[in-house]
Amino acid sequence: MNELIHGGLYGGMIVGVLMTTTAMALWFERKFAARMQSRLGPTMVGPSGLLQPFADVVKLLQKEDIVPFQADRVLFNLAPPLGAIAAISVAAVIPFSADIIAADLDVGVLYLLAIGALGVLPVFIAGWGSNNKFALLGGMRALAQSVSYEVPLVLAALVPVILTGSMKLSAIVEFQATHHWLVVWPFFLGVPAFIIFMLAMLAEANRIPFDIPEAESELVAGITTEYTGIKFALFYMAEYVHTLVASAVGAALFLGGWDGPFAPGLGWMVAKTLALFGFVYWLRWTLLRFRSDQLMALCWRYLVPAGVVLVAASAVWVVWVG
Amino acid sequence: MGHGHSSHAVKKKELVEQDVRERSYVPELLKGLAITTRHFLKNLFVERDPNPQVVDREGSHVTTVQYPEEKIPYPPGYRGLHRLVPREDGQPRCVACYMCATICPAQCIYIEAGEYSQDDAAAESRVIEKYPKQFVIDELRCIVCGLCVDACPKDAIRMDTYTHTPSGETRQSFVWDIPRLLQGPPVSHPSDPWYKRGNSEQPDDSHKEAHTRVGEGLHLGGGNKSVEIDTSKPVAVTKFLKG
Repeated sequence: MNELIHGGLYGGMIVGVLMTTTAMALWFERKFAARMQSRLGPTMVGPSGLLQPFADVVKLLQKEDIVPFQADRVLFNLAPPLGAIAAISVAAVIPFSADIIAADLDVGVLYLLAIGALGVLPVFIAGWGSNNKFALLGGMRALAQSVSYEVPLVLAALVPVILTGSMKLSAIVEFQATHHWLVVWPFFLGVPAFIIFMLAMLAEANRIPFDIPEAESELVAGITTEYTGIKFALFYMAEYVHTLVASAVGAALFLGGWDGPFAPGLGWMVAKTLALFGFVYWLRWTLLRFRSDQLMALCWRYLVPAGVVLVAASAVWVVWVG
Repeated sequence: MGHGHSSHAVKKKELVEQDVRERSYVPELLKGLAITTRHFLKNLFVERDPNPQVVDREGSHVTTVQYPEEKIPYPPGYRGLHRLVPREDGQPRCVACYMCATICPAQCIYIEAGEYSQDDAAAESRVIEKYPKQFVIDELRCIVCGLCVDACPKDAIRMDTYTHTPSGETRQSFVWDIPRLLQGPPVSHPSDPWYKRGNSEQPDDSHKEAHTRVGEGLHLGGGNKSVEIDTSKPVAVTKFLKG
């Protein structure tokens, strides 16, 4: 019973914080992008347009909820909440500090990989259920992309697991706190694994430069073509939450999580997460979209072999050196 | 990231000639990140020049003009909202000759002529025969061609207000009548009949040249002011408002 209350409390807290952060991230991205593109970004709602995301949510809530004729009603309505749930669920195992962690699972890494892989399901459901060729094409692309990038993602996540000897996220961070952050030592394993992990996470979250499933210049809006109002907002939100959670996981696995001098653990974790998050946006507003075949080539010809080598090297390192 | 295998021989050759550095994508990626960072930092720390008249802004790259709050003045010679040019005594210079209404390709001008009676006390009445009882322009119909200004023999209608037609919520509010059209500085010319004829109260040489040249018109809409319009009293003209 105590555990239930504990879990519920932390769960509610994390979801609340995550939602607020997502809203703020929306504002941040729009301002950030505007500055890069010599624009002003939102300025009207609230000071410096700070309340713009909330105004957007209210607007989306008011919009008409359209279900296309001949769409599969069950699948069509199931996809958006499923997508949001899959994105948010990963946050359960993220160690925000030594004390703040909703579910410190012994198989935390496995959990987050499994739930992360679940994220492709609602995308494909949406593509199939919309009964729209653009949505279907987007769904197919998302499926191919996510399934492919699952491989380097798992390989990259295995490196910290092997090096620290645990699948428990708090134990992985603890190891880094007592030894070195994995990107610092052994950096020749940690840095490439970190880069592969972030690339694969970006591809999983369908972020630019891997936003091929949504490629608006080719596919209207891909899987979200037929979605309106709050259902569209759920997809949109899931994408942001996914990126945010991916940044947090990357920070925990490779950048030492809550470990850092002077400031409290939570502060370090948040700072590292937001830095990664900002970098993702930086990339997003710099790069163009990859072509589908380029994306597959990057995955299968470079990231997967590199991942295999890294895993093997990590095993060698642990047995003979570390 | 492999290069595409094109069947086009020339294209294939070009692609093959990409060197390893280029194909590895990393240097180009860093270049791209540097560009966005440069723009970001410049726009973040350098204040935007708020002067709306500055086109080539120093410092920040941001050139956004926050339209309703900031306005860029229209250029000299801009054909804006009509005005009926007043005489020195405040009455319109218009003599109700129908030239503008006749040439108007959109037929947006409606004039009802009145006649000065011979025993009218006003000096003008002895030298001008007609005046507009009603002079109405439907700004929704107007195509802003400026032909009415060219056609007018008395320099009585001009488009030098340097503002565009303000928005309104009813069609009626776009029908401009004499009280709303009659605005701006009065204009007189040496050729004006009340100067030419002997009956003027002013001596012949006392008139002043009051040409407003192109670009020297009113700046009603320039700056941050907008034109106040009294739409409480509807214009009593039915020509433009059938049914």
